[in-house]
Amino acid sequence: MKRKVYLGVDVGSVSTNFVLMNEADEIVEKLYLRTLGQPIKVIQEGLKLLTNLGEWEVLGVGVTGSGRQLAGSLLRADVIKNEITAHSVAACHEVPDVQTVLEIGGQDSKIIILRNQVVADFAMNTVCAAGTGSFLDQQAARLNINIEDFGKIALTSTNPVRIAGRCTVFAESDMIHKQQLGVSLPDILAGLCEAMVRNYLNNVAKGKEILPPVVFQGGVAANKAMKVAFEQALGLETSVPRHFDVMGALGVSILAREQVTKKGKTTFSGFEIIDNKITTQTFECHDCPNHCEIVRISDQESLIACWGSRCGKFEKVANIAI
Amino acid sequence: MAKTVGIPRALYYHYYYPLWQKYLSNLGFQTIVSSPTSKQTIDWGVSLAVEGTCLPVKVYYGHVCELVEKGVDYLFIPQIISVSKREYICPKFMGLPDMVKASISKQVKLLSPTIDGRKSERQITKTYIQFGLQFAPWHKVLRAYGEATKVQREYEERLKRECNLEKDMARLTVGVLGHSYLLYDKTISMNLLERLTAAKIRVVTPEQFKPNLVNEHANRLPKRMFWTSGRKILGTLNYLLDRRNVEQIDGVISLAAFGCGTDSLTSELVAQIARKQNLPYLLLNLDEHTGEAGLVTRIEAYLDMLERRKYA
Repeated sequence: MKRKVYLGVDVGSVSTNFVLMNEADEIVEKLYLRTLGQPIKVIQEGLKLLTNLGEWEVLGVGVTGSGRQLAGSLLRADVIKNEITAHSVAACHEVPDVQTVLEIGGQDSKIIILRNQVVADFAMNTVCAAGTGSFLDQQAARLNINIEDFGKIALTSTNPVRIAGRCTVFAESDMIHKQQLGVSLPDILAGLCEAMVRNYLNNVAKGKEILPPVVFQGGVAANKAMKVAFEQALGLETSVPRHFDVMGALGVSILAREQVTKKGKTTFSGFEIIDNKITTQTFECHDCPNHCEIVRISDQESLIACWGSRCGKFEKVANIAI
Repeated sequence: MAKTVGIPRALYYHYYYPLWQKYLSNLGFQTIVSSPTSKQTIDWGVSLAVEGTCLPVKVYYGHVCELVEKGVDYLFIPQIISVSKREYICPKFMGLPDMVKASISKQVKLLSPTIDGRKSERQITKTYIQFGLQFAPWHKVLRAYGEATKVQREYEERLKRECNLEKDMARLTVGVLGHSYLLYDKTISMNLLERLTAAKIRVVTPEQFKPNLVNEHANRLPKRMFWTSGRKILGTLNYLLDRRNVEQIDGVISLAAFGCGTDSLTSELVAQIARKQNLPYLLLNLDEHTGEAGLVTRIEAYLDMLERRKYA
């Protein structure tokens, strides 16, 4: 028998996450896949993996993340929501009285302040991606260690060194300098975690009132040393939810359930798109000096989405609502 | 045939265009304005401008470039030091004529009167009149300037009345604070005002309020704010906070250009004041990047938050 589920998809810069949630808001299946710059392929692959895990009747679909428009038109989602809203909904679901959410993802980091389950304030990192997951990723690669082992090794440190965390370029030169002095690997890694936390608290979380319970989520929360560094800096206990790595997808599947309950029926395109040939085409429009880059996405032969123009004329042609 | 004067559609164009256009054409010039900012403008500007300047200045270079290509006889680039008593504007504006002169290779004559109203605002009038006397006799200059200031006043009055939506049509009301040359340049601001209007958000901007009211409210700051534009932004914020209930203000969005010296201070002050008064606040940093996703996400989340706060 087909099991009834809601599907949540979070297409991020680094990972694409899938969640299947039952009608009681419990996660039945979850997937954490690397986007590797190919969001369409990874969406198809994810759906395929999900069909291998069982038979599903999808009652509703929600999408979030920086690739949400793309995923939304591909899956014909019921809800397309930004990451802040999705993450706060999921955090409230996991820890109902949560007041602060620290979220660090691949290319962005954010803080969400909630009061009485309503977002009261939020902030995201500004122009630069320093202090996000990709920073740790890069440094781990440079030190030739697996990102998965990062936290474990850092936790063995007894005396973390001080590393400048304001900018990745400075951090790297600082790190090399400390290495050459003979500082041990764990101390450098733990120092990096502390630098990142310092950077986060001084930039993203500047001036925000951080009250407990504090929830730490996003891909970087897998790093135990980061949790410890946060707790030391804040002097507060932080909790990492069970599904910390798929919180965006979880949040948006809850939103999908709410939306479908309101409107009655899902618009989900079905699992058939797994084998469809999805093609994208990019061209530069020369109708005005803006030279917008237009992206056209087709499923088999039919156009399913088109965007990129400032004037909006291509969006009108494809007739999609953003 | 009348000589042509190019007016770059950037920076102080957004404040003084009616005055400049009317005055110059009354003096017998044919005025040509560059086209609205496009990707091409930014490309030109970035390649020409001194590294380390802010985006609006780079955009200004782009507009200059377009006008030079069009073959205008003159470029109107006033050297603006101060537009009100005891106040300054951004120091980059003072250097603008010289900076431009240094980076364009073609020989184009610059018309750059020095506008300096630090000591008295009458000095500004004097400067404009003296500038005009190079091209026309006394009586003609006086009439030309009189007409130009009238057009300028009418324009400012029109701005005050303008509001994108009626209160009862709007879902939320948001104050958008930032320099006019960011707010009203659709490419730099990535269509912010249109996006908000499309989302049924009523927008109030610093231009909509009487300068004396704004000034009065700016005086409440602990220290005198001597940058005209920053003063306007902070004065408007204080004014909006006072009239929060009357205007039904749900939040403020502060627009800042990456690398802007004055914004680094004003946007921080805006954040502090808003925080103290528990007014939801969003800072948008604008730069050359053309990816709109980051901006859209922030606006969307911010509006979601305002709505949930209001109707929860």
